[in-house]
Amino acid sequence: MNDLERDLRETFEQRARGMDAPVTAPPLVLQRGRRRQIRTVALGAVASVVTILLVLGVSDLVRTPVDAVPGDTNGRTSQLQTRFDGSGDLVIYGNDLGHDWELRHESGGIAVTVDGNGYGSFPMVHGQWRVLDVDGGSYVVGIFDNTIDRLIVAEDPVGSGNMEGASTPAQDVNGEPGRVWFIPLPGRGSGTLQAAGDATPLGWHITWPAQMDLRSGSVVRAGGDGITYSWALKWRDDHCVQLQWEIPSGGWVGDCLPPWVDLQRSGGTPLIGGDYASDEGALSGIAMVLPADATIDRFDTDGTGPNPDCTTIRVESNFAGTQFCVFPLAVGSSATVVLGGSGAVPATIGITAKPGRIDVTQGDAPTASVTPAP
Amino acid sequence: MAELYERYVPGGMRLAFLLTGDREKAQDLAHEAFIRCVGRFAHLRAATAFDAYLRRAIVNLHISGLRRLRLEREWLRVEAGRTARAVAFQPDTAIHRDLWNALASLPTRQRAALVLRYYEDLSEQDTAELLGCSLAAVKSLVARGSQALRVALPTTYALEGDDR
Repeated sequence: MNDLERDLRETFEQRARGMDAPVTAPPLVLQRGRRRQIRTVALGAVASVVTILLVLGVSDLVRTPVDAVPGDTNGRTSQLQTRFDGSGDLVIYGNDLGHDWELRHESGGIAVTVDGNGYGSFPMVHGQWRVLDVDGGSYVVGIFDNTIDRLIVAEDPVGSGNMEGASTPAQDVNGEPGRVWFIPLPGRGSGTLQAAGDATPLGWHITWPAQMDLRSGSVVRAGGDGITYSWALKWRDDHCVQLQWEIPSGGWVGDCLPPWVDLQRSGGTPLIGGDYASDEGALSGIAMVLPADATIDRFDTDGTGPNPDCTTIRVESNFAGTQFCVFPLAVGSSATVVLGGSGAVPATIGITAKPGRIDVTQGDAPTASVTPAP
Repeated sequence: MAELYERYVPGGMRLAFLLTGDREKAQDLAHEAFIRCVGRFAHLRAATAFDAYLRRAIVNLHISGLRRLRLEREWLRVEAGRTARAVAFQPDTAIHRDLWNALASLPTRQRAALVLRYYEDLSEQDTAELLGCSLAAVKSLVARGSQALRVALPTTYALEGDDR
């Protein structure tokens, strides 16, 4: 053993001994523990019921006896209407915003029908959700596992009101029990989709109608896991898209990210910016402004986290030739991005997240960076 | 449940403190992990291994960055007055203090790897399983963490490959 190892062991031992620990359990902790136990037992019972139904060959979807599934204890979750079609498939249906709608399980997906017309489908996998536009507003349709007992859209600005989702039990494509959720959103607006039940305290930003009509505050793209980080790119005007970044310790809105056409006028180098966390290990939000046909040929990081989430704005606007890529980077971690594509400046960009800032290096060309807005 | 808490949470809280370097975060982390483990208690394959499940949950929650914000800190502050320290503090030598401060600058996973290897005394393989990475990654995390500490404390520790 070298000196460092020995000193580390001694330091850890000393510090651990100095950590005060309560002699008895805080009542709230015990209370939450008991609630968690009850919930686990209840979910287990539901899973057993589901399994029995499946074994009996009823359907690959759970039939929906309302009293077989524990509803929201506060009576907030209303139940969606269901029926079975001729082939034994579950159909979830209703009438909202003046339209008859149906959700049908087809080939591992949820097929949506509005007033008899197909509205496409999306994978029946937990955590999947969509905003679907109809005359008079939009529908949020999603499927989540049973840890989610409430789904709401909190409308911007904060405090404007919440729109509650209704749900019904259904398995996802992997056979995991969960619930299909539906929320009608009248008119137009923006807000945050939040899955309650300790699951996604940060939520996901949405705009409706989803078919983008650029107006100040429109969500161009949103992402995150809803738990440790959540983000949205919001259109402000023809020369400004802002990154809104939220982590458990707070939220920030970054400075304007310009369109690529503006960057071309000043040399045509990619711009790296974002919202920067100040605590070690906290997630900073990194945004890259690139030409629309740029590709990310390689992305390496010494931390954990997903690859950049890239998007273009397909509406005719100043941003038509622009691509935004967003990803989280923990303070103390670095990432290397290798850019390619015919229109891009081929470059290797190094990004290191420091407390309250980022350091950017780029091959031969200088890289513009924006000042963070705390 | 109270007995489980009293038996295992204090140790878990010490581990959480070494991972986070922050007492309140450590309490959050240990309590959240306890609530999750106790919720699954009836389904644990080996109830006698609650301690191991708890420690795993603490590390996983810490690595994932998930920390509950809702706390009962006031209660803990009151309770802290009744907490007995069974072991007297050893004097905090300068090197231990410097090392502790330098640990704060390490990335989460590097610090976690060092804590698991040198406090929990886990093997590299067990550390890899707990961190959800490869054996090579653990070796790399420990090596980079150690090197960063050597760089931070150049007058105390020789850099690897340095003949001083």
